[in-house]
Amino acid sequence: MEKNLNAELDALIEEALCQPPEISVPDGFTDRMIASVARHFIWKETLRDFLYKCLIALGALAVFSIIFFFVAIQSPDILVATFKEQWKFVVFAASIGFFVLFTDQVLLRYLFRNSRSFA
Amino acid sequence: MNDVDLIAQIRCGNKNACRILVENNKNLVWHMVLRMVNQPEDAEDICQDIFLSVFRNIGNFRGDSKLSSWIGSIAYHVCIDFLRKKGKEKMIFSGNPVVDDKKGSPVNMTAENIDRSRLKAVVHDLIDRLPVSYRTVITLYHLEDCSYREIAAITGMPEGTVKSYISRAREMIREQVVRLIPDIRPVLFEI
Repeated sequence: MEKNLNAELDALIEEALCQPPEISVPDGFTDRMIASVARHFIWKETLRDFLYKCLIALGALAVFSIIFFFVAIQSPDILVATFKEQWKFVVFAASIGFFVLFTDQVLLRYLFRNSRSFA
Repeated sequence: MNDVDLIAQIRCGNKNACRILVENNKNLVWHMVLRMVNQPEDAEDICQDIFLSVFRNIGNFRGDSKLSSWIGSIAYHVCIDFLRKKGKEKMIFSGNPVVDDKKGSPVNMTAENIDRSRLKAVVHDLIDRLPVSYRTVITLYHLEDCSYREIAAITGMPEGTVKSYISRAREMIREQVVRLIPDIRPVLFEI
């Protein structure tokens, strides 16, 4: 008789254990998960794109410098002297270019996306 | 689409493959989170962390186990981390009395005032009071139909421990039910 009681109790416990929790998966769960994952990976992609663009800009600058070097090969001293005189301007122009590119390609996109997700 | 194809598609950036992965595993993740964390208000945020971690580490999946087991193991570790942060990783069975949902007071349960469906609710309440490892293994075994091997892969426990946790969890619930309702025979046999 005791064995029978335990078996019945076990069956009831088994039944209760196999019942899913009262709160089921909410509607639109998959869409929200995909959206949040996509947001994370877009940020990564944006940074990668920016790095590629920087590399392209540096490559273009290197090609331009090589061409300029061969054109002005007859008077390399003048070239070096000019660079020595103007290096501050060159660094300043490069910094401005980098900052504009970074703001446009990364910072503004990040702020825009955040403002949309808070809205 | 099998696991290998699905992962290959996800690595190529196929959004539909990502959707299939979430759709196929949402119940497993949701049930694990609800049972382990026991806080419905935090469940969706935790699920989000789990799926983010899944997609971030999809390149590390070696195919030694089923994809669902691998996702389950990520869910298990994220939930354990969450409980550790909140300091709620219970290791012992809570002896608190089962409370009435409506009144918030301990229920005076006798064969006269309890029926079979109420008894099931009591069992659910007792499941929530089990230590987290026990809750997890019985959820995976009974609700998700996972094998001992799959549960071992998810939790990192040896298979023997999984088996003993499942039987111990059932034993704990049975003991508590009998303690709470000593004259349970009429309820079970609907006399």
